[in-house]
Amino acid sequence: MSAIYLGEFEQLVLLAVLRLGEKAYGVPIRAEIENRAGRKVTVGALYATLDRLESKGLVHSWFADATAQRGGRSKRYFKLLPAGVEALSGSRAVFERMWEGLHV
Amino acid sequence: MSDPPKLAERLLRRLIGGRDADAVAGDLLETFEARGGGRLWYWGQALSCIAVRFSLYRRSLPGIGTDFSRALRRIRRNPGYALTAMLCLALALGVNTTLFSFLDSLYFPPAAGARGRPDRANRPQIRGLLYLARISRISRWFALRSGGRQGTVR
Repeated sequence: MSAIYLGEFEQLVLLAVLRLGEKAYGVPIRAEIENRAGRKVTVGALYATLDRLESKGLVHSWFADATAQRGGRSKRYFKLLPAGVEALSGSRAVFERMWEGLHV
Repeated sequence: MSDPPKLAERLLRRLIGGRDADAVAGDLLETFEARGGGRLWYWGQALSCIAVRFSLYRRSLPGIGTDFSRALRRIRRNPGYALTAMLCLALALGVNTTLFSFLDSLYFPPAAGARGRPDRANRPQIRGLLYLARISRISRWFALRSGGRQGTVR
């Protein structure tokens, strides 16, 4: 299978999902990217990217049961699939190879 | 603290639909409460979700929509090139049509059906058939001219 190319934002999203583990749904994913990467993210852009990553088979999502916490609105949780971990490792390896021997 | 705008959420539910809309609305409400309001912010986020949902760039899979949007982007970025290509195509079409009509009137007399019964020949169906017959005769004429000797031209 050929390696899956990941864009910069896709990598950020996948890393945020990986960091959050079982608590990965829209709000904390956005907060994680904003806090760590210092990048403002709109909800629309985040869900579009997550949908794309799911269609590529890199993440899996499911809807949790509705609770009273958000006025009965359910949460959509995300989990990294093995292919997602592999794609992230591949992207990291590419950058490490490109940086090898460089001092800036 | 003010409530989130009802109309924005209703639009979100109507245009995105299903459980996706429910999850997005929940995320927006949770953030809205955490930041202590911001109806304008809510509207901006809701509209961004709707815009992304209907965007042609949303899917990474190639399709007609993607091709079309890519073509439009190319035209917008380089209008001179696009205009030149369109002019070339228009010119080629015009020259082709003129030359074809000229050769047609020069070498090929009207077909038999068009001579005796002009009223019948002018009917759209008959005109179409006569046109096809002419094209067939022209292509045979070119085939013979370019070296083929099989068949005869009537």
